[in-house]
Amino acid sequence: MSTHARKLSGGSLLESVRNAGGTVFQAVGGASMVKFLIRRLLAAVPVLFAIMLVTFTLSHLLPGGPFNAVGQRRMPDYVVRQLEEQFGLNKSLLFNTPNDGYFPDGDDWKIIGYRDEVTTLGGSAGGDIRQETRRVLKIDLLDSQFFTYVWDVLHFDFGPSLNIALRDQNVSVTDEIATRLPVSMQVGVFAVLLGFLLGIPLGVLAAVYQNSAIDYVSMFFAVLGQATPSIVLAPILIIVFAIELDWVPVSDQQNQWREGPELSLYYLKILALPVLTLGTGMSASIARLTRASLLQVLHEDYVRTARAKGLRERAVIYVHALKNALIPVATILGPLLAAVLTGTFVVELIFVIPGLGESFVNSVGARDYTMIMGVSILYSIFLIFGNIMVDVIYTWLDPRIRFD
Amino acid sequence: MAVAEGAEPISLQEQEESQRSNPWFDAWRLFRRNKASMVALGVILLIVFIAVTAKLWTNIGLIDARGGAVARHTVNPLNVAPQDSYPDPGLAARDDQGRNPYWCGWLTDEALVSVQDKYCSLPEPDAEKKQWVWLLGADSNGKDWLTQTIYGAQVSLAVGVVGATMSLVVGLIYGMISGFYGGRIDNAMMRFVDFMYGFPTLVFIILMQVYFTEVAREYQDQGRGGIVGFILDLNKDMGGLLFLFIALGVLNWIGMARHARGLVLSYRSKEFVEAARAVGASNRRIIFIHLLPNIIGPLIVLETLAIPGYIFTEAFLSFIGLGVQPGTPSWGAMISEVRQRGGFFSNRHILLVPSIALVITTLSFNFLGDGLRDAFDPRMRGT
Repeated sequence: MSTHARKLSGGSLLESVRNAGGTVFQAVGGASMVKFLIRRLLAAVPVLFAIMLVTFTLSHLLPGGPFNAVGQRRMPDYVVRQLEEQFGLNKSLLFNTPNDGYFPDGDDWKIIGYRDEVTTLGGSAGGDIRQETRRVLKIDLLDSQFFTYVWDVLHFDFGPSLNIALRDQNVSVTDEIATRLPVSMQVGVFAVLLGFLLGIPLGVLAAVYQNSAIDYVSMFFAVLGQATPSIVLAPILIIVFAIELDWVPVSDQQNQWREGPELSLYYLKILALPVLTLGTGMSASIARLTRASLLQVLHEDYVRTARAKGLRERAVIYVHALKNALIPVATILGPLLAAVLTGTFVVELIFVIPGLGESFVNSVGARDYTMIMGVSILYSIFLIFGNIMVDVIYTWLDPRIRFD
Repeated sequence: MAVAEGAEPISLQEQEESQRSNPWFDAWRLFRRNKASMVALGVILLIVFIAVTAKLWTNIGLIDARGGAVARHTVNPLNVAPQDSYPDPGLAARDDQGRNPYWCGWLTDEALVSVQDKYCSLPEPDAEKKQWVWLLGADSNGKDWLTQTIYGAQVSLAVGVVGATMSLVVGLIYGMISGFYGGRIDNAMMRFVDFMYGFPTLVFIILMQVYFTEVAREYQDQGRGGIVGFILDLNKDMGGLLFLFIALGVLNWIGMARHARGLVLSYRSKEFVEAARAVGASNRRIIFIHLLPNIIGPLIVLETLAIPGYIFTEAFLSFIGLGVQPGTPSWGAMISEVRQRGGFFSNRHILLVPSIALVITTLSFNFLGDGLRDAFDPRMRGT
């Protein structure tokens, strides 16, 4: 189709550019891909909503709140109540039913009676000082914590962080994620790179020299790498490279993570161990997958044809076979993304990296509801887009697979 | 002549064997040939044996699950520099020669010289259940490290096996219903699976574990009756494992359901199923006699290969303090304790014990899974 179109087109630059665009468009699946993408993106909306609902409910079910979490200095009750009123935590959780006691001001709602709204002004040992205002009682089911939050999120406002350390500085969840995500990404991206750069050659070597010593040794290390969790590998790497050999620091001492990447020897040093920890496991599974897939492809007819017409073995493997063998490897990107997320939790804790995983674990402990929600939504978006991306890559690499 | 006579019985025997062969027997024969997998199977059986008989080792005095006050007098290998504030075990515990007969565990030489006389003494903890040795030392509470490693195997194995079984059963039933009945049911069920696929598993496991841990802690303070109290009691008796199972099980069946459905779909239109349908076999017969034996093998292989994942998750959760209840030995919690006590810098062997245990276990399950896959699907051999 695309070659046909190219033959018909004229010579002008504009047309050739349009044609090139068309070729790319056709190559990635054409109209059916657009339809597919739209369908998948639409399907992602209810998933995200459900994830928000479940995470929201679950995080608010946790005993204690952001202002009286376990391990915090106890604040006077009236301060807690004031803070709750300030951040809207006094509203009902999911639906604002009349019995829940919170009724907003509004104009379009049916008046069902009157009620006294209480505002806490201060307090002393004798009791709280409150101001009571008589207000019209109305029903607005959606004026609850959850739907207020959803409404804010739809306006890209993820709320202020409720964490005690960040609350006073007015740090919003968006700011916090914006400073922490790049840190996690550095480790994650380099780990994935290491995984592919180490895994694919290892897998190819093992497949080409099948049943030789190279095969056995590389596959043994691959299985070993797969069987070694981060919580085992990280301490061992720290002991060997940071403590015994003293090549790299145990953790960042110069606040380099927060100040942003700066290509220096020190940056590479603090990056080395976390990336190695995450990347080893990844390269192991990629190596095994590459080997399995390449071995399968090497038995295909077209490889035999390539050999029969006298191509050199190197050309057969690297030009004909490898291209198709890498299709299943590309699809591992989705699970890999999830693995990066999982892995960063451990790695960030052990190597004291101020990334998102660390922040999530801390915010669960501190009952920082907005931060929990923000990170969960971000992870879900990553996961959903990762899955869609895998499908697109799959179809792109193997034209026999259609979007419908 | 003699050769022909000799050949006859062999061929007969072969025929006999092929007659009574079935897929399971074939798989076992293939599996037996795979040395690495057989070794892995042996290692797993050994670990299971040690874990199941942990009580026995306690009773004969090789290990001791107690700790605290009784065993506190032993040396604390995580804190090897002898502290002056460390309680003196008392001279009463020493034997006639003024020395204690118990061995203190592995210590560096300097540490051994400096602390042996002072701290290696131990009062006889229990005349009937005495512990002979602290083979691998003890933790900061004086709990024997070997004991914890062995009891930690119970937790890891339980999480791996129960997690895999739950996911297999739920995923299999779900996937089979979806794949077998097809049509609108399939569509609805698979939409739900797609739906769940976007959930970030670890985030939910962490949230659920925090919730369960907090509820269990509140319960300890207040006490609760009824069914909730019963479940909380059960969880407490299981050392927090029950809630861990629930948290792990909620999302992990999704992938298995997809695989099961795919397999059912591919077998449903095969000739032997259509033949069965043509002679009037009921749905139940087709499912249980024709489909299930064919799809269960690959699914068991997948679950075996997934077991290390469950073990990793448990270790990780225990590492960040969200896994089993504090006090229940777990490899992840042990590594975490070493880290918190600065064990990376001294007495590393104590770190290696749970690490090696963890790696050997997951390695064995990986090899076992590979062997099973080769055995159940000979086309995949060597891949």
